[in-house]
Amino acid sequence: MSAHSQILLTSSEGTEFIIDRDIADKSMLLKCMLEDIGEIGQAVPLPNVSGPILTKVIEYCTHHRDDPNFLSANDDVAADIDEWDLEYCKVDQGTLYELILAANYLDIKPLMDLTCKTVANMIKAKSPEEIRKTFNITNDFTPDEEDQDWVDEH
Amino acid sequence: MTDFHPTPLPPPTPASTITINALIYIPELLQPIVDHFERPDICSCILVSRHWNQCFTPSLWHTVDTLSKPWQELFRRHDCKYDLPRDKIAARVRETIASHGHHIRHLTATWNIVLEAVAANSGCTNLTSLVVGSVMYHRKVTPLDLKTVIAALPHPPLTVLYATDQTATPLVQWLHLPWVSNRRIYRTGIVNEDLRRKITVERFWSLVQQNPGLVRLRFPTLGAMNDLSKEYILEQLLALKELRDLDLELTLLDARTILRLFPKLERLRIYNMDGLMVLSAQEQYRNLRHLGLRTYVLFTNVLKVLHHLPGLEELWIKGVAVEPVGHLRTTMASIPITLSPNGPSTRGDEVVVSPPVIKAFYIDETLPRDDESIALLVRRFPRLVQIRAGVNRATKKALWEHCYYLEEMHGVKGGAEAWKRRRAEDKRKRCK
Repeated sequence: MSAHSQILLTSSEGTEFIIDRDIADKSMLLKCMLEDIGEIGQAVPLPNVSGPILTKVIEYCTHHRDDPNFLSANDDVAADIDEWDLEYCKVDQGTLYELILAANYLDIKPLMDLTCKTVANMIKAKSPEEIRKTFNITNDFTPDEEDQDWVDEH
Repeated sequence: MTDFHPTPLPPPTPASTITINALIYIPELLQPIVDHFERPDICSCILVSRHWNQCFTPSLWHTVDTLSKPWQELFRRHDCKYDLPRDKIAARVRETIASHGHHIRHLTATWNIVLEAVAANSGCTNLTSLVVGSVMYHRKVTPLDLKTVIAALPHPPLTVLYATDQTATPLVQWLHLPWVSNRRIYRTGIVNEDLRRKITVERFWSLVQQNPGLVRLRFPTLGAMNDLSKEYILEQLLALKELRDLDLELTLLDARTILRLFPKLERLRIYNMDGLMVLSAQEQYRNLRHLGLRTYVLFTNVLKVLHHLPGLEELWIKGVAVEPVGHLRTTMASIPITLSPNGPSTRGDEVVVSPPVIKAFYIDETLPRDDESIALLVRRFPRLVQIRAGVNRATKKALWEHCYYLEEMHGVKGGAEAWKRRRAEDKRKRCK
C-alpha cells in the first residue's frame, strides 16, 4: 500500500477531484503551492480550469506518472510524438486550446510542448487558404492589400 | 468528515469560447507554437487575416538576415551606380528598421546602411545577437565603426561576430574573412601576385592575434597558408583559448594534433583524417559534434574513426572511395542500424556506439564505384540530408525508401521541393 498522500482539487464549476501527490507534482504550480503551504485538508481551487479539461490534464499526468524523462523535456524538434500522446491530442480544437491554457496555467511543460506542437503541426506547411479552411477564418484583406508585398522581408 | 471516494464526472460544460484567434493573441502562448515554424510557415500565417497578420508579424522580424535573397536584391540595386532611386532605397531600409526594429532579435548585417539604421534607431531593444559582415569591404565602402553601433544600442548584444581591420574588440568572437579569399588575387596579369598573397596572409594572422577571444575561426582558402611552418600556425592558434569551431580549409594540419590541442572543439573541418587512424583505443573526443573532411577518404577508415568520436552528430565527407562490398560489409556489421538518441548503448559487455547523423557525402565518380556498397551505406545512414553521386536505380530506390530527410540529391529535377512533392504523392498512392 503506497504512502502517497492525496490532494483535493476544485475545478471552476466546483467539481472536486482527488489525485495522488506525485501526480499533482507534475504541475509546477501545484508543486510549489503544496511545498509552501504543506498538507491541508482543504481543496486547492483552480478557477481557471474547467472540469472536463482538468480531467484530461489529470489523465495525461497519470499516464506519465512514472516517466523518468518527464521533467527534462526533450527539446529535439525532430523527435516524434509517441503513440499515446498522439491519441491523447485527438480532440476538438476548442478542447486543445483549453488544454494549452490549462498547461500554461498549471505550468506543466511537457503537456504545453505537446499541445503547442500539435497546433503547430496543424498550421505548418500549409498555404494561407488551407489555414483558413482548417480554422474556419474569414479572409478580411481587401484584394489590393493582399497583393501588396507583405512578405517583402521573406 | 470527508469521504475520499472519487466523484463522478461532471456534466459537459457549454461550448468553450477559446478560438485560435484568441490563442495567438497572447504572445506567451504564441511563442511555443512559432518555435516549431520555419520561415515559410510564418509567411503563410501573416497572409491569413488581419488579426493573424498582426500576431505573426513580430515573429517574422525576430531574425533578420541581410544575406538572404530579397536583401541582396535591394543591395544590388542600391549598389548599381546607374540605378536612380538609391536614396529612396536607403530611406526605405531606415523606415523598415524604425518600424519593426523592436522585434529584431538576431540580425545579420552586411550593409552599412542597415547598421546605421540600427544605431540611429533607439528602438532595437531586443537585439541579442549581431553578425556584422564585411563582405563589401573590398568594394571601397567605408567600414563602419562597430563600436559606434554597439554603443548606440541600449544594451550590447550578447554575441557580436565578424571583424574588419578597425574593429578588434574583445567582443569579436568569430573571424571569417571572405574578402581574404577573394579569388581576384589569382587573376592572370596581376603584377606581384606573391606580394598580394603574402599581405593577405599577414593580415589574417594580425587579426587573429588582435582577437584572442575568438570562438569560431575559418581559415582563408589560400594554399599559401601552408608556406608557414606548422609550429607557427599551431602557436598562433593556441592563443585562442575559447576556440570551439575551426575550419582549416586547405591547411594541411594533422587532425590528431588539432584534436589533442583543442579538446573543447565542437566543430572541425579539416583536410583529411591524418593521425586519426592511429589513435589508441582509449582516446575519445567527446565534444566533437561536427566533423568535415575535405578530401576523399576510404569509408571503412571513417567508420573505424567513429569509435573515437562518441559525441559526433554530423559528418560531412567530401568524397568517398568505396571499397568492394565484402570488406565494407564486415566493417559495417559492427555498426548498429538504429540511431539511439541517448548515445552509446551497451549490449552485454560490449559498448555499442550509434552511428552519427551523417548529413552529407559526395561520392567521387571517377573512382571505381560499387553500387551495391553505396546502397548499403545509404541504408545505414537514414538521416542523410545531402548526397551527390550519380547513382543507379537500386541506390535511388534505397535512398527513396530509407532517407526521409534527403533534401539534395544529384540528378533529381527541381531539387528538394520536387523530391518532397514526389514523396508525398508516392505516400498517397501507397495508402490508397
